[in-house]
Amino acid sequence: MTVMCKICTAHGAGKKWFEVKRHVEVKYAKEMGFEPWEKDHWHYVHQQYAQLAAQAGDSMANPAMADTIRKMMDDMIFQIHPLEQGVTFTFPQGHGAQVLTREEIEGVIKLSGEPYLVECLCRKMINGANDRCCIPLGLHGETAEMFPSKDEKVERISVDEAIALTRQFNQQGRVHTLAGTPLPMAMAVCNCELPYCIALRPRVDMGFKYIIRSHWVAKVDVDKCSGCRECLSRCQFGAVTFSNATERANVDMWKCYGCGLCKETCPENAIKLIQRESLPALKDWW
Amino acid sequence: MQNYYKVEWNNDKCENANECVRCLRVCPQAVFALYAPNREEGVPPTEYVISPAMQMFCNGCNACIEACPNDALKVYPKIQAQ
Repeated sequence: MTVMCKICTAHGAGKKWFEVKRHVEVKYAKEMGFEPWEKDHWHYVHQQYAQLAAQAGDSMANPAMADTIRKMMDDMIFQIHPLEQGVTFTFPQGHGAQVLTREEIEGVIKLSGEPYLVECLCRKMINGANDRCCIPLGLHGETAEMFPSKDEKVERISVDEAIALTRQFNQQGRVHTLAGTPLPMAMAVCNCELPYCIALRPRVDMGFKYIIRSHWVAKVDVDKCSGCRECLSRCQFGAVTFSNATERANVDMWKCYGCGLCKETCPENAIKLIQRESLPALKDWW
Repeated sequence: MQNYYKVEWNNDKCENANECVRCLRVCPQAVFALYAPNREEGVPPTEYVISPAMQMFCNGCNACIEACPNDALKVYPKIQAQ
């Protein structure tokens, strides 16, 4: 029996939610009436994120309020709508995301077959940088021209180019995430970097469970580890530590998001990803 | 009790927020966010505003104050009441 995350349970129909073909199909998305939502979404994020974040940030600074607000946000984000009724435009209802490994992201890109390349909205808003690292798929890419400045170009790229880009971002140490825009559509492939990501930051620093962990957890094989410390700087979540006593790296599995970046860089192949479901303590830890 | 910093951004003093973005570039804690408050569909936004959105993470390094050419920013420590 496989243990599924809450997005998979609601939308996966026995599979992982990002492996279901119709979740990346433009035709299905249009049939379900997601097109206005997509357009509105690009528009809305650019316009409203900063105000919402400022409000949330102010309230979160007060420890008495923090738990209440966290609970409220969690309820809002993962509200599942009956699909027959279409989607409402109230952000961010039914709009969740998950950290994925590089192999899984490549699978999603292949499944969709229609990748685009645009500037990252988060880095533009938070860092003022023009960084082309956002790979929306299908309908999400088609509607990307709603976003933002006049020099912005939405580029249609081939599947091979998209996969090559994903590998390049992986080498740069970016975490791959897949966002449901809106759930269950799996159309926004992001290559995120803390602290500039508007989705990862609230999750990691403030505890809003908008992004959930992947289906994997990293584990270090202490016999193979040579203590080279390559993996330490790769982890964006502070899960990889180094023990001076044993001269080995160690992964804190409770902090691990299962992105696989440490595994990719290890010269000794000492880090492997194990399935979350095989660990009784972590199988409900998303 | 927790000490933190309050960041104030003055809309009247800031000129050309979209082109300048110096405070965004220098902030090590990514406190600021640039956005367009009034935006019409299909038209590039004309007015941009910077908001110190994540000011709960400000560590008081004052890099933004040094970077701002128009003195549009203020950072001051605030001690939270118990």
